[in-house]
Amino acid sequence: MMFAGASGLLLLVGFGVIGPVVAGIYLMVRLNRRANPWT
Amino acid sequence: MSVDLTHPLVADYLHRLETAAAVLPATRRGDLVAEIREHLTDALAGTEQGADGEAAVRAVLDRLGTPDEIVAAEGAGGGGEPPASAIQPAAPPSWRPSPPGPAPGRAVWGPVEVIAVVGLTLGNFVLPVVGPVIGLACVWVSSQWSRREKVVATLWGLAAPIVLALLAMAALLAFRVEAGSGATVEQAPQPVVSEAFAPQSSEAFVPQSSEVVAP
Repeated sequence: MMFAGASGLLLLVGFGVIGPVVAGIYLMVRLNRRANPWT
Repeated sequence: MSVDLTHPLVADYLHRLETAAAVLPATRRGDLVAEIREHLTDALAGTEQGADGEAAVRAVLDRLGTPDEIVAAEGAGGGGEPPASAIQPAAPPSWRPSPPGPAPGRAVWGPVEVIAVVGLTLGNFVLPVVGPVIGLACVWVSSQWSRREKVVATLWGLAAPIVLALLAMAALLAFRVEAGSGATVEQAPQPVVSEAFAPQSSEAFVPQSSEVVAP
């Protein structure tokens, strides 16, 4: 039970840190590609 | 009833676009078609069916250009060498909103877009939770990203709450299953002792005083 709780917490913190960063990079790439489609 | 993507002219146009876009890489093709569909949905919103509606549809499609032109502008050849039309300082394709400003490469980055990206990336470390929330709000305020891009970014941005909800649901489900199967409480195994060997009472082993014969 404790192991499951620790795993869940780790997963939560991981996604909490990585998720928004991935979203930001994704939007940045999309916008840059739209601005300069051939680069 | 307003015109939508099922209108025969629009459906035929989209079909020709998908055929023409077959030369593009799959991801690029999907993005291009999705973008055109979204543009058409926006452009045709409020256009009523009928003779006037058909003229309006034709005008929208004419402004877009032919599917071949769009695919050529998108860069047939898988993103390698840009087509000749891209090398020339030609006008951007009409289906792409032309942002105001002299330099189209930079004009897409307004303050809202910068705050959105910075809030999601650096803001996540400087102001946890608050930074990404501000970033996502700016993403939805901005008009530079398509609805699909906004949804994808939001799903990534909310990955932690989504994971939390999934974990909570899984835990709840597991507890319910456990509680359901735990209705028959395990009983401690009873020692099986044959009655033949079980003493009826302690008296059986205590010699009666009357039977004791003194030597």
